[in-house]
Amino acid sequence: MTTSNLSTSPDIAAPGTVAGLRSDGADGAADEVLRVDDLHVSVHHGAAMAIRGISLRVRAGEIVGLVGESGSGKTLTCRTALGVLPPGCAIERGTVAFAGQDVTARSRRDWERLHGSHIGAVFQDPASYLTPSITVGSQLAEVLRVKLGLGRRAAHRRALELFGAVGLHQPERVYHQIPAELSGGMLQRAMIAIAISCDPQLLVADEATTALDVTIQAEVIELLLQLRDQRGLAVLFVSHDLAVVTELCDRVVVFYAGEVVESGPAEEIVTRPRHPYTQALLQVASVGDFRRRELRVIAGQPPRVGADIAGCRFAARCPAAISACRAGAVQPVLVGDQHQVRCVRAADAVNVAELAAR
Amino acid sequence: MTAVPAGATLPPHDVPPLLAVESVDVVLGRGWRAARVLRAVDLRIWPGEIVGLVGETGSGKTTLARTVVGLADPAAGQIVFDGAPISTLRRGARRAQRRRGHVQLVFQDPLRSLDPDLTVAQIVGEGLEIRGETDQEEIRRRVLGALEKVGLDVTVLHSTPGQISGGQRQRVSIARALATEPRMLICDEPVSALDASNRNYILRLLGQLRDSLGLSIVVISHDLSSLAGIADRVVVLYRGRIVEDGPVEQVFAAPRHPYTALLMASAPSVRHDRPLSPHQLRRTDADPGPVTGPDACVFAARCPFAADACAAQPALETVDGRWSVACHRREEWGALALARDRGGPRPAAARRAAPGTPALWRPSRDQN
Amino acid sequence: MSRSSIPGELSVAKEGGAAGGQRSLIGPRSVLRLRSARIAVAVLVVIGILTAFGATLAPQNPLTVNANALFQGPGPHHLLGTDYLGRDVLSRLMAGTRLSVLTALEAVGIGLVLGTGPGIATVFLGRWFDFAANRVTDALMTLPWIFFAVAVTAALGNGLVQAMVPVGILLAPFFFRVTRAATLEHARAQYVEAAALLGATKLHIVRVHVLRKVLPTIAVTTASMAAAALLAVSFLTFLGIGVQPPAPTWGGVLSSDLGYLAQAPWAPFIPGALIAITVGALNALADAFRDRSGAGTLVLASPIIRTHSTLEPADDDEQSQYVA
Repeated sequence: MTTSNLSTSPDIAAPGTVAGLRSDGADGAADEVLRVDDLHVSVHHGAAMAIRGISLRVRAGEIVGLVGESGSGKTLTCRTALGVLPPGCAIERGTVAFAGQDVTARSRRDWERLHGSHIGAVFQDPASYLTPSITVGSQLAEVLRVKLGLGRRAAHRRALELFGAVGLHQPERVYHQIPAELSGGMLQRAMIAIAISCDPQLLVADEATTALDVTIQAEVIELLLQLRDQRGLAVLFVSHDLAVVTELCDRVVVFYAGEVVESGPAEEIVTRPRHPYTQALLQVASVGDFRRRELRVIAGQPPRVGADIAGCRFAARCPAAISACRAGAVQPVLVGDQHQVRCVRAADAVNVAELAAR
Repeated sequence: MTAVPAGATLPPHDVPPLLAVESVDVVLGRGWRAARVLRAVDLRIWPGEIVGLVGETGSGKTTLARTVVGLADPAAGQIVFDGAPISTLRRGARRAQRRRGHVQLVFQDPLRSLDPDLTVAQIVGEGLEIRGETDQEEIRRRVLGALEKVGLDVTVLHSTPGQISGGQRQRVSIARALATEPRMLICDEPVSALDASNRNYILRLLGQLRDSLGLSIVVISHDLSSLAGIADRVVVLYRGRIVEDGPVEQVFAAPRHPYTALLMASAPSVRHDRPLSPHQLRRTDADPGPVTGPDACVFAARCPFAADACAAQPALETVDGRWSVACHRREEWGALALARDRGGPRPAAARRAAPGTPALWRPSRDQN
Repeated sequence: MSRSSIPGELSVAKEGGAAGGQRSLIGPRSVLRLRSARIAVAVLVVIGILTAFGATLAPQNPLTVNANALFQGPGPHHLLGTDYLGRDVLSRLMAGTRLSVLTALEAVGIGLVLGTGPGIATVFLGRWFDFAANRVTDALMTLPWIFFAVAVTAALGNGLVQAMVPVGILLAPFFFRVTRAATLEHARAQYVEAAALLGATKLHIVRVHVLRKVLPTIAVTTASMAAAALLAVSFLTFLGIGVQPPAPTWGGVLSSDLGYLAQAPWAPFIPGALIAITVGALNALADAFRDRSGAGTLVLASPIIRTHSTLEPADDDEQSQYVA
């Protein structure tokens, strides 16, 4: 893998730096690439509150994973962080700050300045984000010319370097191919090249590997790790697949029904999950050891988007629910080193598997 | 190796197979666009088996499913179901065979394979109507029976596919296949579009259907881990050829083909107890030049262990009872792989084995 | 992709027609939600009433000649004025509606019957039939309809009914092509494959799966072709083909008005406007229907680049599409 000649961010925090999750002081704020505080977003022109009280941090050089079922709010959160809310959605409360600056109410123009140069994005279906009739090389070169003001030859050279940096063999050949001639994995790499072409601080990846074959998925995950190591790139990685998230991410944020129910270092989440939903997710996730195992299911359905529920939103499906769970809004509690849980019974060390066995 | 759970015995192979795919070649497209998507595929499925057919995009797994049900015709070889060849049937005879409904295909995407204008009752009952069943009461009874088998009830009868959830749609798709009381189900990626919980539910359902109805089920997937809970056998396809075919416990414990091992090593996992890392199974620039050629092993160009012998496509050979592999170097590559660098970046936090992880085991041959 | 702009719309599941699982029959109520459609329908209802009762509703006898009131402008007695023979223009136009509209409908009917049946059938009857049908269509489309119409009236006699038959025959290719294209799109749908796998005959597939989905396209085409047929009628009567004076027709009134431009320069605008409004209403209705149902628009049944199916929410109600 060739090391890119492109400059890396001047002040990278060493990968894996730990800092307070909910720092109310200034420590760690300097290298915070993204900060979301108490975000509330409504959909359908205010008809339903889809996400409530989401807070998260992404530091430079950190890979943060958002995981949850469809409808849990993770994609909407990531769209908010990108400034591209779908029509009918609005931020009701809370703030979004990028590199220390509040971007919650910024205009489209301001967001356009951020896109590409500071924040890059890749999505699930790369083919639909590329013009089918123009070569991928030209599309990348166009970004470089528009955003960085490079001349044609310089843009061509840089594009080839970028294709090489993302692991595409024969970059010169790929440059002249149109999207239809590239496989899904190659297209996704090309998308990543475009996304990082202007050296952004943050890369948002929304289900970026979901549509890829498992062997290619592994390669793309390694590519993202490499990009983090080489450039100090921070990544916000959204996925429904907990296994992929734990492979890749330093920190994991678990979403349920529009709220963050647990967040913390990936190790903690996997070895000492405290929220019953996280435990259930771990039980159903791809275990990867391939032995004949029981296929677990999480009974019930998540609540409708924006449903008003008194108390814990998971209580209806939770095997450990008690009356206090439905009493009132549940506040997150610190249970370990940067490990937070939104659960009334956080201190009880609930174990869902044991409860099921009884 | 852990003991096979009680009751999970492998179906007997002393009876004739229910489905036999005999040396089938399939060519798609015409003229200069023609591509040989399947080559010399030999596959047998016995009654009551759940077989997982695994391959990546371009492996030909969907084409194989379509060829079995007659949506594509073999350029060579034949498909035999229950002793009678079905790939040579045409028109009326083929329609009659289809109306019998012994083999049913469950499509991958229920949004596309269910008519959006029809109700669930009409969709599930369509096969019966086509057969000529006119008694409305009988049709209704059977439709309700099929729906009950998949865990749906009367409430969805008059909904259209757009009005129910994704998981329910997939179940309707399965119910439609069950309405004609088939003997074999072929499910094309039945769970790819579902989240983990729904995925497990559907897989469990398929297992229950096999147990209660004695169906044979072929589950096509690009993801090995979705087979781990239910399949008896796994068949791995690469670029149109079967490279490995064996009992799932044994294959997963010690795969004999490097591609199978790569699939397993690449699968994301909450625990990290892989015996081999994907790096050890991928070709790097340091390895000797790729072995290519029109007759070379299909995997040779990508295989780090390819040698001169691999310029000729290996045949699928039985290595042990019901296990067969197509690899010239099947005895050697394992040790070679272990010797390679595990490589690759790891997430910053030190990786740990989850409590209860077994000790590392190696893909050695003598375990059985 | 010029900049790293990210589109706001999330889900791709909401495509029209066979691709995405949308219902294909759109009720009249949803079409009427468009204001243009409401106006168009109102206009057509008026025309319809005139077709049925025009002659009796006319304020005056359209044939009465009044030498004392030639070329009068619009006034209290003659709302749209009088023509070169002193006949009341409004009454002539109202009475002329029936002949114009009915013969236009006749032509559309012929085109519909000759075109849509083969259009659907050709998709299922194999390559040779399709080839032959397409060549016949090509041939018909090269024929200039005016000459064809004149030739037919020369052979069959000078009547508007006879003259509209060739117009109908020459409308058939349009019906054929549009219906064929729509049927092709739906015939490739996966649920059609699924039905074929159940042993369905082609007839069953057409009846159960294809027909109701092609109907919106046929409706749109009918409205457009009706507009074309009406123009054809107007032109034929303008030329005097197929109509015996003094029977009033829209085109005939226009023609005679043009002959007396010096005396009444405003006169041709009236029948012209009537024709234009009716044709416009038909086209607007066709557009409204097309907008609502997606019929007649190009929908890719399968994307150019194949990828895995997109992950869909487990709970598929509308709202969660935004939040996933």
